[in-house]
Amino acid sequence: MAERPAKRVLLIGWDAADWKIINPLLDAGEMPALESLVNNGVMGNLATLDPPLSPMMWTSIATGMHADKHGIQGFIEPAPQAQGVRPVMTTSRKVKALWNILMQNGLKTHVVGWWPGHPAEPINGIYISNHYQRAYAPIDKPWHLHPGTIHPKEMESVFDQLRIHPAELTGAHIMPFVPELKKIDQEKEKKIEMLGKIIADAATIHNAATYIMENEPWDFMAVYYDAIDHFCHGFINFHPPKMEFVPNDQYELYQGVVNGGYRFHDMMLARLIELAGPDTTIVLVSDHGFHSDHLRPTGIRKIPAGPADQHRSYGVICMKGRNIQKDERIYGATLLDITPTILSLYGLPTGRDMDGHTLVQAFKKPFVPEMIDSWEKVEGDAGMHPVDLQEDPWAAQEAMQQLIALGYIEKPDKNKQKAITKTTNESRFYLARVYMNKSMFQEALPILEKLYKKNPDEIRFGLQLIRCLLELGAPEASQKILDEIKVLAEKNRKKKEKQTDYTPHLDLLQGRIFLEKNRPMQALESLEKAEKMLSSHPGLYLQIGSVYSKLKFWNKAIDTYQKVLSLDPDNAQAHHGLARAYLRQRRYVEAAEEALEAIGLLYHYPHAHFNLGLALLRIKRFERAAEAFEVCLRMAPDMNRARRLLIHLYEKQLNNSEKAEAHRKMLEDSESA
Amino acid sequence: MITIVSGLPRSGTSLMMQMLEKGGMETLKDNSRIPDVNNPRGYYEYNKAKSLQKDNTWLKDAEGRCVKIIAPLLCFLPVQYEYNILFMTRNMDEMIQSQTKMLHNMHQQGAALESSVLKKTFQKQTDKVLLLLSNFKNVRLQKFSYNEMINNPTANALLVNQFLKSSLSVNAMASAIDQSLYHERL
Repeated sequence: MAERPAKRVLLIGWDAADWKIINPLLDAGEMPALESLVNNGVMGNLATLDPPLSPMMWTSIATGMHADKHGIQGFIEPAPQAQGVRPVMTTSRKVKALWNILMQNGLKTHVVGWWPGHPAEPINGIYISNHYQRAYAPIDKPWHLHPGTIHPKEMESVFDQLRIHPAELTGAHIMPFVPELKKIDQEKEKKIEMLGKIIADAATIHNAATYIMENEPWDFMAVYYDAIDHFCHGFINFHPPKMEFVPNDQYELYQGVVNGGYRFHDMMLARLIELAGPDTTIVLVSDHGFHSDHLRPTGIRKIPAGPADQHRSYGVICMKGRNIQKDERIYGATLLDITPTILSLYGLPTGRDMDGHTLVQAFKKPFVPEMIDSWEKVEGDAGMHPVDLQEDPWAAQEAMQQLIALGYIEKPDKNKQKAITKTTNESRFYLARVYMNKSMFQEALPILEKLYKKNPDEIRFGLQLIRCLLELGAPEASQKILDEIKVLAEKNRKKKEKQTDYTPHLDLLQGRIFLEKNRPMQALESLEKAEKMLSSHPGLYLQIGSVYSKLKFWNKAIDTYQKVLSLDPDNAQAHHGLARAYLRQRRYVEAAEEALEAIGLLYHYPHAHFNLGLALLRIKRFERAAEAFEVCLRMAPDMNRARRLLIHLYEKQLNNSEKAEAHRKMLEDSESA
Repeated sequence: MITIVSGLPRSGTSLMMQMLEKGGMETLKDNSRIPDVNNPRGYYEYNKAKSLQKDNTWLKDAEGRCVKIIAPLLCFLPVQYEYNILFMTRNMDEMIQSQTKMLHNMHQQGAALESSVLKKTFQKQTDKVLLLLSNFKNVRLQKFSYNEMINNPTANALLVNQFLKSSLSVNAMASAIDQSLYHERL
């Protein structure tokens, strides 16, 4: 690209924002600022990653990489010298964030409230940590900024004054969210206090962001608001339509909080747009969505990060700028694509080591993004912490364990040790899920085996291990673990321990194991058992659909996948299931359409690209089929079936012996490995 | 003034403690860990020093004496005392090999890290502590190489005396160095 597509970029993060809640508000004209972005730019779903935990997600947004590369693996991490645990910190991030790369390219950058964002990074602009807005003391007590909250330090006194304490809010601030505030006894009812805190925190972040935009020169600005996630975790059960178990009086009082939260964000957005001016490209994203309809879970599992069950797989993306398309929808975006896209907006190459891709479809003029091997290799001041401050907390913790085992340091007290062990287990569990999310099952397996061996009572570790083993085609090993878990689950049930009832999940997995063992009738039986306990569960119907597929009952499979889509229209797996069924019925055009739907929802889906290729091959769209197989193989290089078809295509249909030979060589290498 | 012998495990901290004791300096130790195959001449440890992060009240007993404190805990030294720190270094591969052997002898499990990662992590932690201490006005610090000491006992004993600005017996200190105990030579 000769010209840089964006003069400057404003990246806005709205944690947990979801089109399902936004769309009715847009239709009612209640979010005019966002509407102006949507009408004058592009919008779409932004697929999240697993596990959908915000510090991991926002770091993926800011780096274009999965957590195995960027190093943030959960909410907390071990503190140095076996001093217990602490919230995840910027010093633990292993790679450059977007703002570090932009600074290296001479652009003035500011960051406000990013998560994780403490301690503030020494960039060439202002960096406000995510500890900035928290009021940790009553209003009549000193409320100093923690060290490392503001960079540069000399700006502390300015930003200190911009904070809003929740106790400064009056009824007038709360009533737009809870109109019947006067009916509430605030001594007994703590929800208002929680609401006040969320509003004050968001307003504080907004104050800092607008101050910078009004007073400092900038080329890039990132501002992150966590309030929508908090509004939703606190009040989504009161959001219409009314959930059965919610008492009427509570519903009446709090039903408007979530919508109020979105309207509040729209007001703040209006000011950001105004300050940014017409020459700025604005990118608004969320890391995941939030179930707000019949898919809302009725209870939260009592496990670490249990509230993440309320998260939906799709967040939002919305972009507006002079070189961005107008009033268009974009498809297949993931949060890994944000950093590559913004780099392209500045005319900078993206890293080949990044897991995401530039969203070229959003740009007015088509182009091929430039690439470099890695931004990590580019030397020069990137505004990162000095090397002596950067640390892998997990390796440091292991090294400390070695010193403790050698008897040179006393063991931490029981509580601290317990917290460290629990945190380490959780982070390993999340890392295994990241690997599984990337189809790296061989890497996930030893982690899960070790976790399960050390923690046989943690049923969720065992269940994940079974899922991993099934992906690796090991039904016998899966069955052995499932049998052990069934005994434990039964014991727990008899003890009437207040734990999650895993019975339907066990039946689900039993169904998958039978399926893998090629015993589809027994699989169906297990899944029907699970269905009795998990009605309206899209995941269950997906598995029933795959049993029907295995039995080659294609019509029944199609009915089942359509049932999933009636529950959850954005379910990529269901569209993919339909594509496979249509393929077998030789309904190739419909198969291609469904595969495209799946890819539009979830771009990083190699099997969907494969089946798209297959459908296109059957309708003799050879070039498009080859493209689909190429994409599939970029995501899953070991899918030899795709490579064989591609070789066939290049040789017999596309007359490209060079490419055929290259793929043949890769196939031989793969098979010999 | 408190004299501290520090470093990572198996960097030669016990050897330096022996040298200082033989040279005439009083040591703060409690013999809670008895000599064994890993340290046949004893560990020269003071148990309370292993939890400096929780309790530093015992440091008053270390005035005018020398005490062994493991490197990562040095950042918990309180500011009210003055310290001379003899910081032991050793070839990192040798040291990790020696730690692994010691863990094996103790039937203990060490870090679940590849040796290269452990080495990098230890190095980083040591660098971090040394950087931190370089900013402390109440700390004087000199590094001593275990490998150097084995090769040149007398020269190093002289260096110790110079650093401590004391008149410990150089010959006695040098005689504490027994090359036959240097097992993990690479």
